[in-house]
Amino acid sequence: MAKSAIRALQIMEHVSQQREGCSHAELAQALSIPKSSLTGLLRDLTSNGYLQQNRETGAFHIGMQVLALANSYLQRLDIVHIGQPVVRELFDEVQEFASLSVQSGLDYLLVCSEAAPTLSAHKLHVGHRAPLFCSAGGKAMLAYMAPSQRDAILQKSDRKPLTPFTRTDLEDIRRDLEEIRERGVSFSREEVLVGINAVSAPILNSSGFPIAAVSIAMPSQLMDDKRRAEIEDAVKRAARKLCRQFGWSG
Amino acid sequence: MAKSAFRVLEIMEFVAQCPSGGATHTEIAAALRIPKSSLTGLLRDLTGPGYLQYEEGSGRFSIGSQVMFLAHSYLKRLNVVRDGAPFVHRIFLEVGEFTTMAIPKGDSCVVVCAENLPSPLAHSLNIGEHVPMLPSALGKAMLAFLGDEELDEYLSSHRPVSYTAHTQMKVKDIRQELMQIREAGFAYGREEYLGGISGIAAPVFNMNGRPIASVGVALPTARMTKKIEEKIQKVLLKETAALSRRLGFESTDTPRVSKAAAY
Repeated sequence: MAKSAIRALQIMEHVSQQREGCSHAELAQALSIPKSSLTGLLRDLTSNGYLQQNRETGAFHIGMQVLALANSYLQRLDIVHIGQPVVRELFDEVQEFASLSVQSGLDYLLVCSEAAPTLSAHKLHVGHRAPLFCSAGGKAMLAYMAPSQRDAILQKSDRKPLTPFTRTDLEDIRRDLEEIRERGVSFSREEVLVGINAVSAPILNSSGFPIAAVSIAMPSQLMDDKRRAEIEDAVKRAARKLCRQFGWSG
Repeated sequence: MAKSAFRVLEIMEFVAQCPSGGATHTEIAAALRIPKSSLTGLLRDLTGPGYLQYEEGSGRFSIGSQVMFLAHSYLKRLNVVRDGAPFVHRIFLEVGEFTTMAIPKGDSCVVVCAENLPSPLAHSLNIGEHVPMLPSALGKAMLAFLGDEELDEYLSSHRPVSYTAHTQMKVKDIRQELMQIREAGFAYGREEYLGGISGIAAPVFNMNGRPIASVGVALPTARMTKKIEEKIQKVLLKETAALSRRLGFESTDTPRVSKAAAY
């Protein structure tokens, strides 16, 4: 199979991984594409909206056309259709960042979110990923998976700490998951992002499999015991509502 | 330019715009006139890294989760203020009147971007200035597009405050006006906040269809003729729709590559 077939995607993938975008020369070097043939590819990707070029820096960034593909993916997920109003209600109630995530390999993938439209607020976007083993949403799903599947994921995870607070010891994580099953809700105390705590609960389908997690994330300073109890309660109610819609009656 | 590099994007766009959100090997081959044998390899290349996923039951290929990596890279760079500024600038150039963008902040909205001619008429709003929601076109354009429950809650917890002799003070009238704004797609301010100044504003939506900002044009009522009013409406609707699309609102249409490939 000719490699050139997926060139366009390789270019986009490389661009998406660079924080500040990527110049023509950087791309040519990273992907070993002759500069002259890269010029044509970049022009076509840009004119079709898959890339956009920053006029000041000359750097290429991902363009808005990818959203058409992303929307097609999201629209096929029942959890997004059914979950969005519930996430909205949850946000209205607690007024903190509310989201739904699904499993994607060893990560969770954020597929729906609601947040206050302020400029300063720390916000995660649809498409955000974090490892299952240390995120609240990920742990909520892990805790309810079959033991064999859970162990396989934990074994495969590199368990690299994302913050000084990430719990990486396998025994600690297993104990956390045990506790999550007892409480029905999971916590991340600055394990993914410093300064951000999260509370999640799993959404189980009719066979009890965790198909998603509903979460609230907020600045850890604002989460005292009282607030945490309120949020835990709201997250559990939202998850229960969605569990019922997916046929879980446990 | 090697056409083959775009084949994969054509395939993904075709699959994405199928009404069922997926298509079979045969359907893709027929629609894009790709020989079945070479399509097999392309589909394998796309399902491997997760750009497409194969659904055993239906035999259809649909968009896979890998596209979310690309989408996230786009979405995390979005900033309504930075991305909105060129739209505000374009509206200002077209209508030649004071143009602003505002975002909601608590009970009011705050001006985050403004374009104006240097003018001794000091009716302009400055960046950072707070404008009340209920009596301003900027605020009404956002309020009108909140969900019903949210709007009810807003109206029951915020009493109208009188700014001019024209400020609407009855919640019933305000609600009725907001419903009209929903229909029309833009809001009017008729000297309800600043005496002698009229405004027209339209909402900007995010990916979830939430109004996250509004863009408005304001001018002395004396100059607001029917002709200029229609021009402002037209330009505002066009540019705010384009800005909303940029922010991810209703961007399900327009497969670009397939169209380009057609000529």
